[in-house]
Amino acid sequence: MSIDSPRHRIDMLRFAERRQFLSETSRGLGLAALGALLQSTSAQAHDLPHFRPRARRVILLCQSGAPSQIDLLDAKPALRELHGQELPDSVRQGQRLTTMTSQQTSHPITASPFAFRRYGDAGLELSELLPHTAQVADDLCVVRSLHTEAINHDPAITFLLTGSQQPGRPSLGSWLSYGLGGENDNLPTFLVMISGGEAGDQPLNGRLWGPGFLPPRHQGVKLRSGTDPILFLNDPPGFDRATRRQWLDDVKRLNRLHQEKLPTAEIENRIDQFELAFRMQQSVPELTDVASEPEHTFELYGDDARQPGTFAANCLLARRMIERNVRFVQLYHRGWDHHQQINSKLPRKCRQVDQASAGLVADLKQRGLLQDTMVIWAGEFGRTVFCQGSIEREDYGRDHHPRCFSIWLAGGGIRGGLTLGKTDDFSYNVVEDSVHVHDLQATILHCLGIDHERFIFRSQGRDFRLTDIAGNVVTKILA
Amino acid sequence: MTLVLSRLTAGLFTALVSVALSPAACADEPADHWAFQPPRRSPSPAVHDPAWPKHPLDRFVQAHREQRQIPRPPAAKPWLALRRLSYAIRGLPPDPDEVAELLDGQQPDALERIVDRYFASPRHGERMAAHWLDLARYADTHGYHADTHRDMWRWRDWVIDAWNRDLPYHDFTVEQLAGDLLPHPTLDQQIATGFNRNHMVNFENGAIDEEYRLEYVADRTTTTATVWLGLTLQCARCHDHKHDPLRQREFYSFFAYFNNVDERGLDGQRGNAVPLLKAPTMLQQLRMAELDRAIPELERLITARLNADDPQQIEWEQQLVGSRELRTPLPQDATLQLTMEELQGNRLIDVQHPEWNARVNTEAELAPGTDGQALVLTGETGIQIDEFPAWRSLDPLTIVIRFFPTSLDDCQLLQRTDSQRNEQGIRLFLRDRQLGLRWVQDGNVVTAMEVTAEGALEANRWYSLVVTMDGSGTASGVSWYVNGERRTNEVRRADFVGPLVVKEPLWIGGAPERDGLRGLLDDVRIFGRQLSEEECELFTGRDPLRAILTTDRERRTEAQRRLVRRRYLEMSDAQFPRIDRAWRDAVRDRRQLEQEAPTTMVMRELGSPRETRVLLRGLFDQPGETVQLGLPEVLNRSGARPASRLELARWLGSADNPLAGRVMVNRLWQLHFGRGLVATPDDFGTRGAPPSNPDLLDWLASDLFDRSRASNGSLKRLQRQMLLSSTFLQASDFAPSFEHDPDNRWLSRGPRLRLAAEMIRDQALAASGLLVNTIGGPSVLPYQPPGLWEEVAYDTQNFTAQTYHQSHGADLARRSVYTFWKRSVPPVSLAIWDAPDREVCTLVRSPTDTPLQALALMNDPTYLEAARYLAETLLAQREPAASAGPPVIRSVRSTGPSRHRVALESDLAGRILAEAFLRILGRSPDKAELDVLIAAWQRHAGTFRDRPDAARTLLSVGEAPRWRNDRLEDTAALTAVVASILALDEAIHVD
Repeated sequence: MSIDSPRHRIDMLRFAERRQFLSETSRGLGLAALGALLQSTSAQAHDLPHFRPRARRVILLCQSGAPSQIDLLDAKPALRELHGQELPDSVRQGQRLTTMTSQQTSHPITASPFAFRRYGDAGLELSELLPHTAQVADDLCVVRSLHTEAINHDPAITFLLTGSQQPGRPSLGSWLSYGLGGENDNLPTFLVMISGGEAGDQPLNGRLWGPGFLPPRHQGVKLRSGTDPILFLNDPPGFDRATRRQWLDDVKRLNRLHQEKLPTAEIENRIDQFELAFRMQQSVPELTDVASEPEHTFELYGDDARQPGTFAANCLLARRMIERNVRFVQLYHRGWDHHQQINSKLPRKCRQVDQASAGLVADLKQRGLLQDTMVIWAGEFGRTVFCQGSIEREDYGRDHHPRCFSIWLAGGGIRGGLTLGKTDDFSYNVVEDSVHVHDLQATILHCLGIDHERFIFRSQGRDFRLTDIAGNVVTKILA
Repeated sequence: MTLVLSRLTAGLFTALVSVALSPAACADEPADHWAFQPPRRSPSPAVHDPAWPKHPLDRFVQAHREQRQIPRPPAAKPWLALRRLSYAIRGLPPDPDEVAELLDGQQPDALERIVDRYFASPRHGERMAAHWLDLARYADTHGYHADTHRDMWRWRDWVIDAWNRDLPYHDFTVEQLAGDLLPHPTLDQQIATGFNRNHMVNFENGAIDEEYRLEYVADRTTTTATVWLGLTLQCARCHDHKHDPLRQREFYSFFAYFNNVDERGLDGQRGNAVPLLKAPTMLQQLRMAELDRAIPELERLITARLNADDPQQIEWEQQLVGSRELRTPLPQDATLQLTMEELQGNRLIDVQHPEWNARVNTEAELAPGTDGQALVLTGETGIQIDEFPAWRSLDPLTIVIRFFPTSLDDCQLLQRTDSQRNEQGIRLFLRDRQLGLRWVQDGNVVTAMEVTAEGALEANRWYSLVVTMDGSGTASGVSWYVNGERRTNEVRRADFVGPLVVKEPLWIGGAPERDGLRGLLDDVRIFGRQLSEEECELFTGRDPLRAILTTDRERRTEAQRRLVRRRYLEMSDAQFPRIDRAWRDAVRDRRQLEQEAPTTMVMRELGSPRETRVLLRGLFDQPGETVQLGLPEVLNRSGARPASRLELARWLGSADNPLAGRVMVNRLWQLHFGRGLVATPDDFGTRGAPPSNPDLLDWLASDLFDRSRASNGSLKRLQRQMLLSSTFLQASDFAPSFEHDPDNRWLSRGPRLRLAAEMIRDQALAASGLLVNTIGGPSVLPYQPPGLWEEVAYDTQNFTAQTYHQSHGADLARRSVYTFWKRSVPPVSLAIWDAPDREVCTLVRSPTDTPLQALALMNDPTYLEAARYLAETLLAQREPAASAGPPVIRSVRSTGPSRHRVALESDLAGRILAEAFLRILGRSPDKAELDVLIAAWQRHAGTFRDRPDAARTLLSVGEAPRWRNDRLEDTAALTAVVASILALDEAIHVD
């Protein structure tokens, strides 16, 4: 952002006031506060990190559509006995259902047909649908007690990624870009990739990687499969590197000639951005070209990783980004919204992500990157213990369930081999170690050295945080 | 603390601290806050240097500056002033002619005259609208979930028009907030209320209606407060405002004004959400009025003829009854009539229309039919006619088929569809033993109409099928006659929008990848009109006319009388068929206009008011106490008690509202100077920045409403004052000012602003000559890398705006304000330049400087095409025919480097480059710049000479027509050079 831009000036004014307020409330801190203020023209307009970070980078493997916790991570073998019985009202307690099943006269308990086993030294309990994930069980922390406020996809995924159900707030990655900046001069700070996406899969939305009211440069940059991974990256055919270099030099010469007449140095920044673009024309294809990866990489991530645009290929790219110090990598895999035919669709979906997710964790670990890279595997909510449609028919599915859902985390200061939280016998309500979405967000920020309560941006007269007015760090899962 | 601060002299910091320490920021009792007091109009202050101010507002600025002993800046160079003004008023670069006019120096008031022309140009409305659309969170999609399309462009065009006709600020406010409640509102005044329907709308399956409806109301409430009051009401939605004197119940009292709309929480699945309004464009309205006059006139003529009595008719009837050939002939006006009697090879001949090339796709075999021969259908057999006249969904159509099915498996009877576009078109089929017809329209909208004829068919018998369509494009307009019996319609789907023109090949029987009918096919006839019921009957061998004519005249029903009369007129009155045709066409055109007329979402009140209750913690299912309509106490010094949304709007847009003028003045100041007099345009509350020049702000705010000064809310006049002031026209590069006033808080230099996203793209279009200046209409879809919508799409079959169908031709070069705005994937060419997603009201765009912008300037086809087009144009215009080629360059290359500099400057190449520079930057290059450009052209030409393929590829960018010339490499090289001018920092700024 240009120093002279109005937004910047507004930010500075606000910042000054905030500082002023802080200084006055703690007299004597004046000079220290001033020192911080004078530095604040750098990328980070705040004294971040607030404390020593456990993680420096994050990979979020977002499973859009909401995977079924009851079939994957939250084992309830006892439900087999109750299969087909009506869910007791005492469990539901009149809580909100979606209008897709609220009209259903029967809400029969539907046990998972998939077997769970314990894996690893810690005996982490996982579904048979996740055999590869099982192999890295000791690196994973499964949280079974997550819950959210929204019951529909759009508000729930918006809530998970921005801390608010309603649009307009910055996404997690944008907050991090704003707060921590980048560590690679040749690549964007916040990269996004999408896989899946058949007709009827829940849609995604740019706001999930959008900057909200933060300066637009904190927006996630979407990397696309194919020949033009970043928009307008490729020069026209025949316009070779040397020609582009000369072209850029001409632009630079002319820019410099103009700058000589101006008393500010702001054109210099524009020149730098052109240089960065030129470097990205090299660094991005290097990043996305996996031809140099040895055979065993593909054994680790699965054969799908050879196929650009798959979740597995994106996991491999995520590792390559982390190697290059990209701050925040966000993968979306679409198609988990199993209202029908869950028992046939879920195994297929798991096959698409299981090996690559586990491969990513293992790969980061063997490269020594897992210790300061946090990996999160999560959907936007869970699915109901009762079925949607008739339990008599094979094509039933499960409806949305915000009251509890399960995710896993790994690396970056998270304790491996841990299962946190407990749900009731029906995987319906959280009964132990409840974790709200804002708690998860507070914890992610905490691992990155950020106190979520002090990480604030003022917009339209109001102070905003990723965690709104809530959030407690889940210290139990910290290593 | 104060001491420590006062020692700091860093300019920026001083400015910041003085804000923080000013009494307004700290000592204020909230209710006494400056912004809640009425503006005071102070006399313009005395200044030492009376030569400088051109306008009273300059004196306020100068007084401030003199107080701080900041030196007086020089005026901007005239060409820079012109470029600044051109962008401020029109959002476009100045024309080279205007630069010449100004520099010419013939007319002392040249600048004023140009400015007046700029304000009078319709481009002004487009420029101002682009800004207003951000505030109004205007978009072409609903925003939530599947993010399907909506049509709000009639509202967008209202905004453009409002700025162009300089609608006074009061009316601008009232019409947008409450135009529907005005006495006898015009169509335009109702369209204007779309302002508060631009919020996002949801229809996600499973969501709760009331939750979202309340969200819309909250959006209206906060957006209105932000735009018209500069206050952050949203802080009080969940609890009392922490800093400003706003209580939660006051939020809901304000909310109540917007809570009475006749709307649904879940809506918008197919286009606009209710309440909506049919809003024909001006042209459509004119044409409708014309037809509404013509149709009754034609009906009168027809009725008069039908009712008249005519002795000759009796004679005619008797003649007819007497004749043996009473049998009414089958209608002879078919466009296609295949009787299966003539087969040449595999080609069936239509004796009436031998021009149709009706080919049977398999080996054709004939067998005895009902009347002569019939074609044997194997299931694969299909008759294909490639060149067949287009069918329009709004034209009547009749299809007659005589067939003998040997199997009743699902199959096709006839189709004209486009398999590439979701089977768009028409199809006649047999499914579950029933006959069915389906119209499908693809596009941003996939819509369909499907009806089946009641009753199942049986195998191994002859059927005479007549299906007629009345041209309404609706299910009820389809009629079925099976063996002469009317069959009831069963409507399967009925959201077809139309109008649709089908040009695909006609297939009868089977079609590629479609199973066709099995059995025999006898006559096939197609009529470009709707056959009457009697005519339909004729195809079964029965003859209704015969029955009537043999009935006594007195005993005929009125319908029978009319039928005979009509038949008689058709034969005897030369004019009747023409009048009848004219009437049919007029009715069809009227219907077409009705269908084509866009709808737009508007405000409309519920019959009985909805109760508004405080929502505890802002949650929809936690209602608290009931509240009444009302303004927040703190704004209400005048004791205003608006009793309706209309009264609220009138108050908001009037001088009684202490913030009305200030907020608008500040907004326009911010727009043109890059920084508001209040630096926090989104917050005039106690936590916002106090005005840097309160007297100036108040002076302008009072002036806006001053009836005696002919201002009367004129926003053009207000802007004219600002833009022709000495303050605006100062040089932006005045070095001492950076020292004394680094932040330009005291306006001690002119603004240097980054162009807005729309301007950057429009500049390339305008400078290259590509720009198409059509005003208004549906949004367009210019170049965008493929797949951006699709990768986040929900369901391309059933929802709109999931697939990007790029526009072509003129729509590729429309101004960016007309670009289709999909909220979940904002238009890339604008988003890269910091355009918001328009999910919520945005007051200020933050300009950034990113590598993605650099890449766009390097490779976005928008800029490459513009560069190519300008290069070709310049070469075509400037080339003397004889010395084609950059002969200049060639000769220079051959004569060696020592001479070229001298040679080139005076040369054609230099003039061409200077012209490109002028068109984009509004000034001529100096010598150093020209040297760089000329050298670049030479160098690129050398490169392309070695690689003509590369030159060809570069020149093939974009769909704009080529100005071909025979100097490929020089054109490509010039294209590269022009692209570099478009990429200059200076090009994307106004200095």
